[in-house]
Amino acid sequence: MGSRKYTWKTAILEICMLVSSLVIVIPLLVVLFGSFKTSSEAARYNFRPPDVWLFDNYRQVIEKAHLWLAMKNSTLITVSVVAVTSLVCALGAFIIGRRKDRLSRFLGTFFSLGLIVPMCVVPTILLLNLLHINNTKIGLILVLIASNIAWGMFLLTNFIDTIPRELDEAAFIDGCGPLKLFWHVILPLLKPVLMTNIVIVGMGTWNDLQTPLYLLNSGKNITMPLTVYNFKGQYFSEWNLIFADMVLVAIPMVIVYIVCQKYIVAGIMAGAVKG
Amino acid sequence: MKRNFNVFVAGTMILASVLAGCGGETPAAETGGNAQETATAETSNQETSAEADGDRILSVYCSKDAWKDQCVIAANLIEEKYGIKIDLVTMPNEDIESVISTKLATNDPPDIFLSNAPQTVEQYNATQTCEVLDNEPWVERLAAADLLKYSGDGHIYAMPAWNSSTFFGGVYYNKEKMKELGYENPQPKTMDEFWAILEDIKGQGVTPLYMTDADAWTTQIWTTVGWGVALSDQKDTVYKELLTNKKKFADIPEMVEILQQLQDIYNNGYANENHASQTYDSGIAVVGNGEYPMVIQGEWFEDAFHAEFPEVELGSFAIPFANKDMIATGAYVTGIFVPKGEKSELAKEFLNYWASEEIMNEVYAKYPSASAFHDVDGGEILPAQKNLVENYVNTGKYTYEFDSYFDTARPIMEDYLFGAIVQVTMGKDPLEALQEWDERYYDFMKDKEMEGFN
Amino acid sequence: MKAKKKKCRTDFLYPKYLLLPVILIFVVFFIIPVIGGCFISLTNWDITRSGVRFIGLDNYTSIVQDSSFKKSVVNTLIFAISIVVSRNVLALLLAMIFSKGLKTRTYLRTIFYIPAILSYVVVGIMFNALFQMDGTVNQILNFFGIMCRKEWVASADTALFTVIVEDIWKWTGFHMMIYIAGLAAIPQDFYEASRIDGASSWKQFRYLTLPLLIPALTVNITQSIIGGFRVFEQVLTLTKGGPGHESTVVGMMIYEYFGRGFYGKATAITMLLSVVVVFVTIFVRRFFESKEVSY
Repeated sequence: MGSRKYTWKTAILEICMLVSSLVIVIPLLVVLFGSFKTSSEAARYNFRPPDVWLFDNYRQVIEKAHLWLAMKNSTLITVSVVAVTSLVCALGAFIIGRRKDRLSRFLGTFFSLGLIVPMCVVPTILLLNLLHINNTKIGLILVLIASNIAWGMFLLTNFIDTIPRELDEAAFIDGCGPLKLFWHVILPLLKPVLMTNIVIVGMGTWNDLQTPLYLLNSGKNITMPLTVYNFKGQYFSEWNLIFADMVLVAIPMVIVYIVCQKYIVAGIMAGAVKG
Repeated sequence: MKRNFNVFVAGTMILASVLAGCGGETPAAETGGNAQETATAETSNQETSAEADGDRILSVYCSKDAWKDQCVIAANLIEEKYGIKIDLVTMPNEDIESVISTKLATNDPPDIFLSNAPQTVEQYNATQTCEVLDNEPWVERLAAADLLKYSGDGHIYAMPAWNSSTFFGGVYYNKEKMKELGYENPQPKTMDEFWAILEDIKGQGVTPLYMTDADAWTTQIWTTVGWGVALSDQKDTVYKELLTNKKKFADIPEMVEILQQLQDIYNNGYANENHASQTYDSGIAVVGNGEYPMVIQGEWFEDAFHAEFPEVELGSFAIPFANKDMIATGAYVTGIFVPKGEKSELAKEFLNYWASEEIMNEVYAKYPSASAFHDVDGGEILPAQKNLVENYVNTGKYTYEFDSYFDTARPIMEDYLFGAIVQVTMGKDPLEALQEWDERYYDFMKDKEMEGFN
Repeated sequence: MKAKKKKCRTDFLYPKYLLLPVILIFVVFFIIPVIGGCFISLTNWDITRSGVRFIGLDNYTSIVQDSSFKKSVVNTLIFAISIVVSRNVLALLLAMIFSKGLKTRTYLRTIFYIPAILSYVVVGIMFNALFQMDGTVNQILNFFGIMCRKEWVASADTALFTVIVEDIWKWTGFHMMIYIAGLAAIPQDFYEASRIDGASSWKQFRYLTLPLLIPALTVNITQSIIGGFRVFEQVLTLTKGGPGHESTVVGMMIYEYFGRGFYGKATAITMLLSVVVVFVTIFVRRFFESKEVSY
């Protein structure tokens, strides 16, 4: 509805919205300010700035909760899952989106199962045992890729339709084979929706608690959300440190989000809504 | 469809060959390969470095509550002296049992885990999943070997981590604070005396008891001790009847009464208002700073308390359930289990070192306790525990806690019984709570095909 | 005819073997476990039993009679219905407000989306702090003169409510983004035309905006229904299903059955849940497909 005049009605609406955004901001402030407080001050759960800013909380929590290791693990897992998911989904979506035959219709439905059906923990563990990749990052990564494929296919297949087929034909005339066509023509055009996929899959992977809780049983493979989960168990009354750990888990995603925000909107617009 | 299937098979073979070696031909496949390779490289790196250490790494699962410290002390020493590295994983109490169970059942266990023994032998199906430790060298040094034997087959499945027996439940209080309130060494012998103390302290404007009902296992200390004591003279009949479905929990008046008394604590305002959201370890701080004088806890509370507030002394008294001067102790120890697996020999070696005098001494130096081994001195046990041990355990005025008779139902107790007890603290009718539990218990026992449940 | 001819000409540009990586990973690490799950759900496998045997549908019949399972189904339904309605109504409302040209809309949009990027474990602990007796919510209520000493998370009557609030807090921004995208895709001239026709704003919304938003609605409603039925981490990190089983949900029951070592039963619940979600999703999709319009 775009370019309307800024009337006093809009101004009131704007103020109302700013006030209601406090619903989001206040809880975040409780955590953020709390992470710099003493433990008893933090346990008052208010959103006043701390009396004294204790930056040392962060040093303590990084040490106690093995956060460097967790950060390294989470980054490795997230990057691998995102990279592989995006690539295989882009390839798959390219083929399914272009071939309008029964197979691709069937596969569309087939993959959407992954959006609906929850993961089966016990058979998954048995399978990983069978393949001798239980308790390894690679096992976790493969399971996470599989559970993200559904979403990636959904998003990307919808988007492929918006890329004109004439481009394919032109590329073919220029002597491109299927892979060259995909790599040089399709993939660059997929960039906005790939970014959406990367951000959404990346966040889901980074934030996932349940899968690593069941699939990784060693301290050296700990992930960021698991540190919070364990830390909360061990130091329950030290709210300041728990809050600091929570901030550290959230910060990388907030940064990614703010940097990639325009892609999320563009990608959602182009991908999801046109479905 | 058939054609599609053929394509699929052909495709699988092509992919297999692509994966087998000719993946790098095209830019697309190259990137895909790289992403996976980095991941593989990382994992295999770790595996090779593990092998370089002679594979002397053990994964250990341990609950977050109280035991972790002792674990760390022993593990660090063993690594230093014998080069066995420990990869310690700690988890909240309520998750660890389910995670360990799942891992054991799917053949993917940690190398070692800590849990109550022999209490949890059935829950973990240890007779199938864990090593029998009867012939380990430390067995003959055990101070109380009989306690450790699993009643089902008489075997030992766990080594005591440090203490010879566990669970002296009662009221633990801040001595100085209680003195201020006019109580020097209170030892109530009847429930009326107990209530009088609480009423009096409340009258002085202090909330006497600090309850932590967000951790249901702390709430049920009241009932497991209370029921144990109240039913001590019928213990040979009543538990058997419950275990064979001849009686329902709700039919036993003592059980209802003890639950009702638990509710009275809250109804009469003797406990902190925010009890429902507080967890076990918050109790240490509030008793330490004198905000609340008393908690209902076991000896682990004093251990942890002492580590944090070494200068504050705790006292203790037994809650005179059913007007009996008696405590109910646990028939279990903190046990170290060794699941069957590739590293079980190394794990047994690790246990041997753990049991050695020099390691145990270091543990007892920080956490004095009744020693699990008759040739190691556990040190001077802390005063509040000592009070209960000397006046009750050593004089024979004790019975076993309620829980110790229900190992079979252990897997559902946390979820259903403890949960029901917590609801009683928030106003649920005690009889109704027990009836609900009866239903859950019946279903579970029936699933387990236990005698009398069909 | 022309289309078919074209297809034949270019299909070799889209060879099926390129589908293999995605199919292979999906089948091996997702579908095979699900199929394995179907089998496990028909056995009496539990941790203490060494002889596993097929028991047909016994797990399914005994689950359906289980009273805490019934409770969890009721709770899941309450949860799902509440969040499908609230997430979507609020998200659509926000989206429509943001299309009104507020000066701070970029800032506001960012703020409202932030909860969607936080881990459940973070949000769960945060809500624990907010909804304690001395927590932030009661402090704010007290500030406005409403004395409240309620233990929101730990009380039987409000535990599920806090989970619902947490969920709405977390996901409304996500759905809002999709609605914003959907609204932006509606051509302006439609509104101008309708304004000339003298349509009231309600009528404009009902007969113009809503039908054109069907694609966005479909995505949002299916997503929230699936999220609603599969609810688990919200409960695990906030109430653990407590007190007692007052706020338990189907996902939590699966977790509990696993914990107790009943693998057959736990998998059977997973299967039941999957079937229900698949059917509800298909139904909803069909419903919206029939309503889809193009102008």
